[in-house]
Amino acid sequence: MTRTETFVSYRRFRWMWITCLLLAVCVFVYFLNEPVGGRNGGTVVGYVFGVLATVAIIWLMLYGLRKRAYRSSLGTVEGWLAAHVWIGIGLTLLVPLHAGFSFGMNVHTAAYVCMILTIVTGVWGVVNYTSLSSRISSHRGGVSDSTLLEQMYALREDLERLCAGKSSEFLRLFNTYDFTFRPGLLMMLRGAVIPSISQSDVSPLIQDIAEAERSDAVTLLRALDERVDLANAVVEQARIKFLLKAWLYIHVPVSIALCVTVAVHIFSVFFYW
Amino acid sequence: MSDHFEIAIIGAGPGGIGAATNAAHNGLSHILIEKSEIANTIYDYQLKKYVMAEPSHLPLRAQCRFEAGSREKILEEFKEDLERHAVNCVRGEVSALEKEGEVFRISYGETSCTAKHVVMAIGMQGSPRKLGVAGDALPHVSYTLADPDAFSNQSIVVVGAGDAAIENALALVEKNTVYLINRGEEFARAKDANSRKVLQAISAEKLRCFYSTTVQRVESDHIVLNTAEGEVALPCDHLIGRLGCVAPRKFLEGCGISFPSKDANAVPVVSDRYESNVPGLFIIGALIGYPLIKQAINQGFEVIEHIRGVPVLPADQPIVEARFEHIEDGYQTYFPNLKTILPLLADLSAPQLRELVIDSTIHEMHPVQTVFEKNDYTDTFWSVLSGSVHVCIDENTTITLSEGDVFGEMGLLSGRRRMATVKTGLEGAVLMETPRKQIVKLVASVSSFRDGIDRLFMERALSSTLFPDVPKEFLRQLVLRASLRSYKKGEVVFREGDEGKELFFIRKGSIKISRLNEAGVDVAQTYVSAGNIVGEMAILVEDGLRSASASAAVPCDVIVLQKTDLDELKGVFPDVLDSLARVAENRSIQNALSDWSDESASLLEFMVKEGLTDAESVLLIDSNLCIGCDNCESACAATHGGYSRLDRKGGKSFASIQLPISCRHCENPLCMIDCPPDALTRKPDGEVVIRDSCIGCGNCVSNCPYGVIKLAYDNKAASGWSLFNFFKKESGDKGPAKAAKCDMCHDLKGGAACVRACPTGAAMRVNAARLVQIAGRQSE
Repeated sequence: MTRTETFVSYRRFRWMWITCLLLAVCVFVYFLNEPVGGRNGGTVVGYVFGVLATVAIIWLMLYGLRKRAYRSSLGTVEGWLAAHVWIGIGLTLLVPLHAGFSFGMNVHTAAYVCMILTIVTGVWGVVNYTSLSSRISSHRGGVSDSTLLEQMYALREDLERLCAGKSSEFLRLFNTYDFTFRPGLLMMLRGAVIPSISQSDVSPLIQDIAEAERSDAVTLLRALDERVDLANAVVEQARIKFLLKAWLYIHVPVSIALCVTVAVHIFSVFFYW
Repeated sequence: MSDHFEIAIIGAGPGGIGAATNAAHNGLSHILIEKSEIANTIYDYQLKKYVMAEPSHLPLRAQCRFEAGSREKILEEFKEDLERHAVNCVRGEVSALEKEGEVFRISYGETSCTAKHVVMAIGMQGSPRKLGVAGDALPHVSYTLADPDAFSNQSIVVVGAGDAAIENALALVEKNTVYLINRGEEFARAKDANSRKVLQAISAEKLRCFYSTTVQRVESDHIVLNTAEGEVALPCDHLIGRLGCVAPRKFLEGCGISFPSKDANAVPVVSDRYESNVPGLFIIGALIGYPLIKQAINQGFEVIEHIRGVPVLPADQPIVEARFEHIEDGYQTYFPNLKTILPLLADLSAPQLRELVIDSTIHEMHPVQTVFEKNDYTDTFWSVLSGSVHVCIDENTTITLSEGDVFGEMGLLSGRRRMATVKTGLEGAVLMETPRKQIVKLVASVSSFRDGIDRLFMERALSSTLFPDVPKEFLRQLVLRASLRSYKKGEVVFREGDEGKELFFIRKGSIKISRLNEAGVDVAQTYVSAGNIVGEMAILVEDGLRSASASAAVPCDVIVLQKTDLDELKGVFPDVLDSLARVAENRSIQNALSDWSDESASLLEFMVKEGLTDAESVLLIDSNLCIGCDNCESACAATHGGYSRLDRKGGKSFASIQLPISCRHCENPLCMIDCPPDALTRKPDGEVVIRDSCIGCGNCVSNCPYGVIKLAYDNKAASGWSLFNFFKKESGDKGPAKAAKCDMCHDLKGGAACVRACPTGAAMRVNAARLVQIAGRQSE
């Protein structure tokens, strides 16, 4: 049914345009103003930009509250997210304007680094949200990953039944393509794929098996192959779920770190004034 | 020489007890004749059943006690009260009642007596229909089931396919082997909920059902059946026959009582003193359409007062008068003349009329005041008692209605929004607003009322949609020839390639239009909703064939017009088919433009199958956007007492649509059908909400085909930001569980919390019309 609009393009990129407009004004003011001693955070314009950026950061942090303020009639969460994304991205330029593009090995730049980390993880989240949602199979009439796992376990039992009382050649075929399914963090990140069974590798193994067990061997192969497909599907679905959440586990802590460093930055600036 | 009494009361049910205790209290010579147990219908209830005392607004006026409570308590009180008043109660079945001059001769049991007055209070449940085969009176055969727990590990045969049979069978399945004997091929007579439950139980093999089967004979330990495949013997420790009750009409007619029509639901006409057409013979209770216990007791009391010559106003008199109290002389002006003012009510009995007024609201309205707006979802029925109203269908069409007219029947019958805005005229108006439930009850019990409403609907529907400019006479002719037909869900209205002989106007429900594709598969094309016509194309052409098939997407009521009638009337009114031709032309243009792909057809098929064409506001989730964060569910729980009324994962999905389990606010809400306290209502904007008067009976839960209503305890502790609540003790008394479902967050300013809490904009609420657009876009 496809809404073509996403939270990124919410209301024809309303928040992108607002952010661009605000930044354009800031850039204009930045170049208009030529203070003695060069442009930096200590000038009037620098302070104004600093206050703007601080207010923006506080407001961006409020998104977490709005998302959970279910009774609120203050816009929709989608609208807030759109604004959160674009204004957040806009900070990458506003903060350097505030600092007059001067960076160094100090607490001030540390705050900037925290902010960039927050924004980068946020953008990663945006990319995940927009690219992965359409691949969640259980949302599209497919089965859920827990059902996939159940099917896998059921298949494993079938395989064991099939192998009962069979020759060692038959068991070798089974052992070659049997695998222990242990999806780990690395698999989630890389999306490692369990290789499917290739015909050329199988043929010699099949030839070793006695005629009487051949048809069972074919059944075994089919089941093994299906198990590989299922395992890959489970990994794929788990990976999608993982990615949809993982970015937040970095985004939120670094955003808190950002708040702390910004507080230190503001405190130190005024303390050493 | 037999005994003579002032008053003979037949039937010791609530009505009879009410009459007998009052007669005894006043020292009148009387006799109360009962053929089985005191209050036999209540006696036959399942043990410990909680009996309600509805209608709650009605005061009890009697010399006996009655309030809501357990079956046992009520029976005990009835017995005590009969003893306390020394009521002359005898056992015996009345076999004849004849008038001999001024007195009645009543033959009962082996004997007889005479009486000056007779109060008939035998109710409807007195005589269950017997099996009518050899062995149907054996000790292990019964026609009621009082205590299902009394049976365990037995082989029980239940005969019948109605609600009572199904309920009994289901109550027994847990501990016994149950066989259900159904004479027909399905459970057509049962309530939808019961039929669904029994089919589930059958498919889960909890009980075995024999269809198209009758009982041949009953033996002491087994039963022989005639099935389609021949004789079958079943082990049978106990047999329960639930074949309905024999209407006592024959007996009543034998007593000289006349009925207004041959209609099976017709009740004898009585005066407002409950006197029948036979002077001295009074009828009260369920026989005249009052199935409730309190009503019957009150009527028993009143009848005795009347016989004593004590002027008595009905117990509800103050309530009836209160309805008019805000209008000067309102009661005097309107109530006695109600039947003259409103011809539609002409055939209502006096008690029916009183009940109608009690349930209604009388409005005295200012000049040019809005009664309701177009597109409102209200479903009440309005009558003009005086003054006039203007019905504005659109800018150009306004109809004026005056005293005696009624309006609001469209919403009543089709379940759709109001089709016009109604305002009072310059002189103001006095209007009576009646709830849908009351009107539906009258439609079911008074045939002239039903016919009047049907005709009115047809005339107005046809004139406002198809034939706006034709003379009234033509419409009247057409309506006289039109018929009303009902279709079950999925039933075929007509098939592609058939000759088109009929034109259909959808009164209620919606119809799916489908065509065969090249592969010969039936592919859904579109759906047509209530208030529109179907089948016009083939009608306009000589020997026209159907270009598509039509079937009911949901249960439908359809007005059928015959082509021959239209042709004939065309001779008299040559221009009448012009508007029909215009509709057909528009539709063929529409068809040409929307050449649907197979995907959109299958999406539409999915929607029809899931009943979405009946939805006014369904929650859909776009799978291309949904990230599965379940913030929608969290939002719902947080705004609804900690309990989410939507289940995102539990629902179905198709292509890129997820359909969570959540209320769709149906056009014809099945949940509202059978709500004892009338707690389910539809708000003007279409939401179907459950009010606090819910008693937690669970009828709506089983009536909803989509499983969206649950019984839940309000869990206030779980709502909001509640770390501290963790330490709070749960209070002991939670009150009854009440029905809970989506209420569209009607108390929140911004609207549905689920939609507004979706961070990616995947959740949306749409109605059926929008759904079809969505399905159509799929092909782009």
